[in-house]
Amino acid sequence: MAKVHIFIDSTGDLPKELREKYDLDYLPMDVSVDDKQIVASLDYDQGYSLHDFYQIMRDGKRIFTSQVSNPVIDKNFRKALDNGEDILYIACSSALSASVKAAEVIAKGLREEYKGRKIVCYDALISGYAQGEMAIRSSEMLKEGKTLEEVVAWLDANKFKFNQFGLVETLKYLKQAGRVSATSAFFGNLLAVKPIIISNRAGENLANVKVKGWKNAVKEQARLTVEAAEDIENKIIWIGHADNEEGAETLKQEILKLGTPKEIFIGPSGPIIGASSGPGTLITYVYGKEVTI
Amino acid sequence: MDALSSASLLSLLDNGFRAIKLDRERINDLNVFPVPDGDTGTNMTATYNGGISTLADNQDAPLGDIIAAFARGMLFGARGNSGVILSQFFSGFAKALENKTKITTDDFILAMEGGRDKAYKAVVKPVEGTMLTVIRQGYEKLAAHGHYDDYESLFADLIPAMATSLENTPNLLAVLKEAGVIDSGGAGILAIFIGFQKFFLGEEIEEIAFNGPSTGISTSKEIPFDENSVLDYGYCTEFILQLLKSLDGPKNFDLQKMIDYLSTIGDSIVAVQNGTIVKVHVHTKRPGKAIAYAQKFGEFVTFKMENMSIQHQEVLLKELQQDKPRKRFAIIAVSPSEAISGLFQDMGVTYCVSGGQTMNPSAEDFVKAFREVNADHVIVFPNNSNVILTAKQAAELYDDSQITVISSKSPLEAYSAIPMVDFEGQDLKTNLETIEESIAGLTACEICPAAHDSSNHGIAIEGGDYMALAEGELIASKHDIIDAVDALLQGIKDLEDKSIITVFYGLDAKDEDKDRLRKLLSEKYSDLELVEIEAMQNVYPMLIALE
Repeated sequence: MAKVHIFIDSTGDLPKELREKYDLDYLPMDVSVDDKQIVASLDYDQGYSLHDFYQIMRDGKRIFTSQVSNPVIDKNFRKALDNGEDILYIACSSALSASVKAAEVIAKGLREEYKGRKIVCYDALISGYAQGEMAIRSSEMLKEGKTLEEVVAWLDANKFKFNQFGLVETLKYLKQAGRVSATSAFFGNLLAVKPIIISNRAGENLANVKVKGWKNAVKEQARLTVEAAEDIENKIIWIGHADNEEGAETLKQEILKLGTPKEIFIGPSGPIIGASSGPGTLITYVYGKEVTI
Repeated sequence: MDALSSASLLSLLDNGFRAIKLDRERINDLNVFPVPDGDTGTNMTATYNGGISTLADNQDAPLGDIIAAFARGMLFGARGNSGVILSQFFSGFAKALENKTKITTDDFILAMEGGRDKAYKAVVKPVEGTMLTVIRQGYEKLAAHGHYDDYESLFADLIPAMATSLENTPNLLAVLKEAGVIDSGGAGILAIFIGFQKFFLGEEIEEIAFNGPSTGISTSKEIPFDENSVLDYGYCTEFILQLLKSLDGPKNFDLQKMIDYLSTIGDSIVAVQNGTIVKVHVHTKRPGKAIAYAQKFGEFVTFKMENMSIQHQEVLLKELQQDKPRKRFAIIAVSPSEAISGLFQDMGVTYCVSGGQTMNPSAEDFVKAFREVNADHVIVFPNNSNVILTAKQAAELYDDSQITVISSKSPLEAYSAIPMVDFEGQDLKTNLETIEESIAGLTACEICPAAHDSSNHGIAIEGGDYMALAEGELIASKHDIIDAVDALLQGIKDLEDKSIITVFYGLDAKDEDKDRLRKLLSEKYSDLELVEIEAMQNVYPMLIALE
């Protein structure tokens, strides 16, 4: 049985130490500012720091994001295949990025070329640390000796149990990026009213809760997260933030008031998630109750 | 006189109008709070005017129809609480006179009874010491007497009874006593009845013009000409030019040359000359050129210019509106400023009715808005306690929609509640609950300069002080505006339950005070999130929503 090379991409959000720990690789997307294209590094090490990156947005400049490019997919897949590995690419939700579709087209050609080799391009139907946790769990299952097919079957059975609760300062960025669906009730000028954004079963970001005031919204976000966690003692709650470490810490404290998860991980959201949701964003992810919307 | 005919009724009603018009400024000044607000005198005059405007078309109608049309006109023209009560009084008054061909003194007493009953029903909780008391005690005096041989003797009893009742209103209503005023609505109805009496006494009442509100002033989302518009149709420019000798005009002016010139900058040219007078009509996008050309020869006797894009847009808009699809839900909010209308529309308000504090919209303004939004369910947000009753009256007058009037007393309730509704995802009941919940969590506050010395709830108010009111109750009155805000916040009992403070800055809010407010909040009330809105309302330099 061939070793499986696991990829996530720039929306998978896991920092270097976790990617190394679980032997995960990632396919970088790109961001561009002022027509200059930069690699969307999960480690914010491509010439801009985490803070610099969000300062660009705070200063009113628009950051554009692009999917994983075909040459990047082709090069990385070939490298793994040439090493004798099979491939599991746990990709950003197809409702948010066309990367998974592009990868599948390339995989089709590569399967012809590398007869008998397995390439799975898996649509996570979510992004961020949830996508990352899918990869971690896959890696663990493979280490336990499960086959690629068994891992995919588990993902199929459980992918809707990954929950997301995003809190944005404004819906402006998500709307600009076309990365949110919402009824008209969420459009227009909401000022002090903050929307909470879930990932629905179609893999879309859906604004479906409105809360008065940021502080109340953080509390509601904590409540929804803990509620979704179910047996919270065995769960990791991920908090991704867009240059808002202080906010993430407050959110963590609110969560701890309601329950004691196995771990609360705080880390930056990657540049793609950050550019699409805007500075200050806080997003929780937890594996628990099945999403029904 | 022992009976009123159609003709004498018309004169009587006109006399009432003359009287309230003359007296309205004095009535306007009878305010509980030293704040410029929905002026009772103006509102009652405007309401009465709604009735008067029906008379011209009904001159030759049967008496019962005249008074019925008059009353209906008042229902639509009603502005403010006093206007609504007045219109309801006349509605009941007219109802009692259905099918009459003349009004005897006995009929008049019955009509007074009908008016009293209807006026009392107009308000949920009738308050004594108001116009209602003056109406009631006037009627009771007549009823106790029974039959009168003529109107002269009837009014000789009625007017003193109403006047005594009015003088007594401060004894029934503590806020009047503390402010040292009599009830303004009561003063208005007495003025009208004194006008009636003068008809019988043959005393002439001076006729003055009423330039107050009459027709609707609603503004809709579609401004016919805004910053994105393109001038497609130019200006319809018309003038009469007097050729002047000082400019050698009569000698040098040549009509044909002018027509030739105008045809290079416009069309639809009509130009005629009669001696030294030239009359010109031209459609042009560059009216300045036409003016400059003409002015070389003379000066303008008259001048008229209209943007034809607006005329044309209005035609287009009308066509569009006729085809507007029926909506399920619509929100109508009363807005005191363009800035707040813009904010409301951004928040999803379907239609804004202009007005509020100093300019109360009429029932007809609301009816127009109902027609405009064309929806199954309409939710209305008044923005002043003096507007709620008018909106409810308008809802009664309109049958094509299910209308819910929210008891909102400032623009802050709409600001608080509207962003929380979700018409696509939730039904009407749930949305109304959401609105109620949101308003329950809101403490609506006002900071306002006092126009003169007064007193309220034992708090002395000095003219020029800043009064701080929470939910309509005076909390403090301070020389300094930021001290007033501080005292206000200290006076809010459940402040620890509040997390957001939204400040609507009015036209009179100074930048320096905004800075001081930010400083106060960050130093002393750092738990409150501050949202600032340049709302540009008048009267109140700051409206404050605590949520």
